[in-house]
Amino acid sequence: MPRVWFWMDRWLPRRLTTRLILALIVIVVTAGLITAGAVNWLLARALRAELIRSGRSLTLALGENLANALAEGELATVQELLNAMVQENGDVVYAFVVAPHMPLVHTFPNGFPRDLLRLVLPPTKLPGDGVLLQTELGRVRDFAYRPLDGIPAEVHVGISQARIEALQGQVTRFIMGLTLIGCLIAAGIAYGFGRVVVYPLVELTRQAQRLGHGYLDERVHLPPGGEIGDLAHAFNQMADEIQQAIRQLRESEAGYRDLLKAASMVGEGIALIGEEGEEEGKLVFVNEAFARLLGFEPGDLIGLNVASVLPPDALGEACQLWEAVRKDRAERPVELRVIDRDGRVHVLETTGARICYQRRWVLAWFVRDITERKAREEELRRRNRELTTLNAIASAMSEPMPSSRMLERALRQALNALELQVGWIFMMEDPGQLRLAAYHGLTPGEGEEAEGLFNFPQCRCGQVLLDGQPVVVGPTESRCAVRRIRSALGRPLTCHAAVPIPVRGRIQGVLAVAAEDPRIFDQAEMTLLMTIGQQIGVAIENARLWEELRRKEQIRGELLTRLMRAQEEERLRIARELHDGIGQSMSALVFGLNAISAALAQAPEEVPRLVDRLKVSASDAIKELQDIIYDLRPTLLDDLGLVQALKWYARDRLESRGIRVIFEVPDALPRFPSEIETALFRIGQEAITNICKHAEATEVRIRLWVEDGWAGMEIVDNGVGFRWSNIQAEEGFRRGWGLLGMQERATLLGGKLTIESAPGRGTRLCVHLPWRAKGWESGS
Amino acid sequence: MPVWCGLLLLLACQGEPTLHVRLSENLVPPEELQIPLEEDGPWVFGFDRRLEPKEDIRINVSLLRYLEARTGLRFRLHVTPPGMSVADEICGGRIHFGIVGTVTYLQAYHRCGARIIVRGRNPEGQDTYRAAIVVPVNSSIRNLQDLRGRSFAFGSPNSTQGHLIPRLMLQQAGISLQDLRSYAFHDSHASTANAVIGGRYDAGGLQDTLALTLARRGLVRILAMSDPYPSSGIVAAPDVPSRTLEIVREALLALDPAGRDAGILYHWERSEMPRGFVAARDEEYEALYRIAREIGLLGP
Repeated sequence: MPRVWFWMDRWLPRRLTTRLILALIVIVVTAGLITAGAVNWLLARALRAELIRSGRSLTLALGENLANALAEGELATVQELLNAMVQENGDVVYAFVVAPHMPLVHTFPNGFPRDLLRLVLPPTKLPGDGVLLQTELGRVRDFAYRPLDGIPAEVHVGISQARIEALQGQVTRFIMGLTLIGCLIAAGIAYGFGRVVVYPLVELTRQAQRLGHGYLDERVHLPPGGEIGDLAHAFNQMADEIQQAIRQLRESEAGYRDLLKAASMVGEGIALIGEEGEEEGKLVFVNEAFARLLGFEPGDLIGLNVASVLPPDALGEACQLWEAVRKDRAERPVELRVIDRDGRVHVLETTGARICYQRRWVLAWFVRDITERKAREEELRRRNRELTTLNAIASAMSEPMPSSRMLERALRQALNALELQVGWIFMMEDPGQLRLAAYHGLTPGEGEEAEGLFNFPQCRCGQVLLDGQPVVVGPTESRCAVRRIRSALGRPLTCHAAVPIPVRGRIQGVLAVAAEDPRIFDQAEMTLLMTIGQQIGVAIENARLWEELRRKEQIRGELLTRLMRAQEEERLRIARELHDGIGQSMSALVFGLNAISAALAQAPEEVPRLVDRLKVSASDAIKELQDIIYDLRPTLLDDLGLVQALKWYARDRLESRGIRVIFEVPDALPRFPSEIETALFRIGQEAITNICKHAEATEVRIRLWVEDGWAGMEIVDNGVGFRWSNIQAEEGFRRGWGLLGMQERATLLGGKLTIESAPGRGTRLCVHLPWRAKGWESGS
Repeated sequence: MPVWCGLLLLLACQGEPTLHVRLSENLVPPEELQIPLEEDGPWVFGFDRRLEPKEDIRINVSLLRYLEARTGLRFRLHVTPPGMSVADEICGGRIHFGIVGTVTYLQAYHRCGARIIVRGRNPEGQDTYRAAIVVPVNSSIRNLQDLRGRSFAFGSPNSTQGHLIPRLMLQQAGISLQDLRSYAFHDSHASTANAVIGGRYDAGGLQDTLALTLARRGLVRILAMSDPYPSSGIVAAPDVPSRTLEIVREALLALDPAGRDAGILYHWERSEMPRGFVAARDEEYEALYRIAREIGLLGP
């Protein structure tokens, strides 16, 4: 439907008055046609009914008049009646009669037309409304009647319709004349009415044109009320709003200019790109910030194709952005790269909008240089990745797990941080003996095969073991294992980097990562690898310490158990000795006293002898008691100090076995605190016991000294010696609990005990205990 | 404007079929104007004219429609051309049944042995009728004997009540046609009555019912009333099969013109048998047959 209005509006005259005239004429003509049609239809219907009625009556009357004559066969009478009928009725064109046993009688002067024989119908088909005939004389309606029931005699009368058609024509002409007059009157009325109606519109149009020419202060002055008054009021309101909108627009433009200026001042670049014609893709406007970003003056960029400031690989992305802007689908900023005058690449955060600029559509391109921000973000991202990696490695290192798994996990984290797939770790088991401890990106078979390909330290990576400096091996290095891996396994590894793994200050392994594409390992990546290597070293040390701690804890527990057991055994021994020795002596004394008591009453002479015997028994008991007490803690240690106690114990135990004892003790060795003297005595006591039991030594050297706040004792024998690691690996009774107890005792006091021994090379035991007496030196 | 008129006329006449004919061309030669029209019905009825031809046709055709509905047979009415009698056409084989007066029956009976199958019942329900001899109201004639030397108006020569029975009455009174000063035949009872009322004739023979009506109105005076004689009826040609004859007879006897079958009949009350039919036999007309033969109505 809107297309119909559009089409009509296109072809109708533009003037409203003319349209009103046309509308009224159309209305009058339509009404006239409808009226003429309706009147004609009604008239034709009525005339036809009248014609049929009169024709039927006429035919009926004629038939009745002819009935008897027909029955009698009176042809002359029939002919006369037919002729009279035609003569007396002007509308009757013809009449004829057919009847059995008589010729057809008719009124045609020249003969009966054969076509009318078709009207002689079977008895049951006489149409009541007649049959309409189209003849050369016009339309004729034929009526038929059978006056004699049962006798097939028919009377036909043809009545012309010319009269009613003429009447219809007159009526139509009359109505059409009225319509024409109505059209003229309607045109006049429409013209006058249109002038009246259109006057306010003309006024409104004139005022609208004035408004369009910028006369914003003028208003339409028409009487209020009615549609025109409302329209004038609405027009004035519109003018007010336009005036206000223009004022706001000007203010907005001023603000917009300020905004552009401010945007330029803070570095927001704005460029307008032509969208149509010769300007398509060319810069039609740039602000200072945009030009400054590219190293140009604004005037240098105008007319320049925007593709010239874009790197080739950014053209597609830029086209997508501008296509989205054209379709109003650019929702979020897009990062694009541009090339400045010096060829430097800048990363821009850009967005766009389609605006109308100087009466043409352009693409407004808003840019912000985020190159530094991107760099910072990249750096931050890299650092985060490194921190994440280090954190993951530290987390992995902190977990108690076998070193192989720990190394594999650390290697995997390092590869993830560097976005590489292949890497390996060599660890040194024995001096100069490296073992492939972990690898990633290789199958187990490849790993075993690769292990054989490395040839430390001749391999280029082996340099790391020598100088502890990281190494980046390029694809052209002929000594590189990666080269051999690549040739042996067909893996496209081109270069790799290796960093040392320091453990307690010594290079104990190599961490290496390999790349499948030519790659430059930058300083940050190498630093990260170094850090990871150090982390691995720390982790290995931690693992070792952790293992040591675990072992010590285990030993401590076992020592405590053995100590308790030894305590119980000692108590049992003391109880047994008290029972067997002191107890028996005390019993004997009791019996002696009882005997003395009895002798005093019965044989006083025996009392002195009994007293003497009792003195001997008491002395023995005291001696036994002193032995027991001395075994528990020699009183020499408390009375004379550590040196004398050690000398006494060594001579008592070693020289009695033919072992020569050599003491090297400073002359002015001070007394140590009792806990240190006790600890050194007990360690020496255990060492002497061990020498007696196992060393098969002939000479023992015992040395005491004080140095830098430490009290030291060294016991060296020339016995058969032993392998300390074997003793530590032993379980149960053969483990060397005495040695461990000595170590534990030294550790409890914050000191340290070292044992150096080898089969056939004697044993050296050295203990250092912290002593806080400052200013004393062995030489002083 | 003519275009509009034509359009409107076309709209006005829209929907009615039009037959195109040429009135001034393709004319039929005069010798071909005898159009053969189809006449339906194998059994042909003839009739004696009593009223206007078209009325006689309509009344009798309505009886034929009744018979067709009743019997299933097809009937056709035949109009006897002027100059011929129904009796001739019955005996000539052109008519199978005849709705005729007594004279025509007697003629056909006499000539070819036609049989009467039913006779009619008058408005009073009687199957006989009588004739009356009337004179003007102020006539000096007091009895039949006074008719000697007077003029006399008869009905149709073949009319039973207008001719045959009045001739029998005159004969029984000893008066022959030669005893009359003059006599004439009229085509209907009405014409006879008008001739008497108008004074053109001294006396006339009428059907009894018309004579009584006119007498009650004081237009005529009834001089004599005849004995009752069997009324007229329907005869069958001798060659009509007895089965067909019986079917027709049964249908006629079953006619109920005042009741059930009134709707199919056309002004049957104007016929001579307004109350239907009764069975009739030839023997019942013996007396009338004799006088008719005597007076020469039956021919040789």
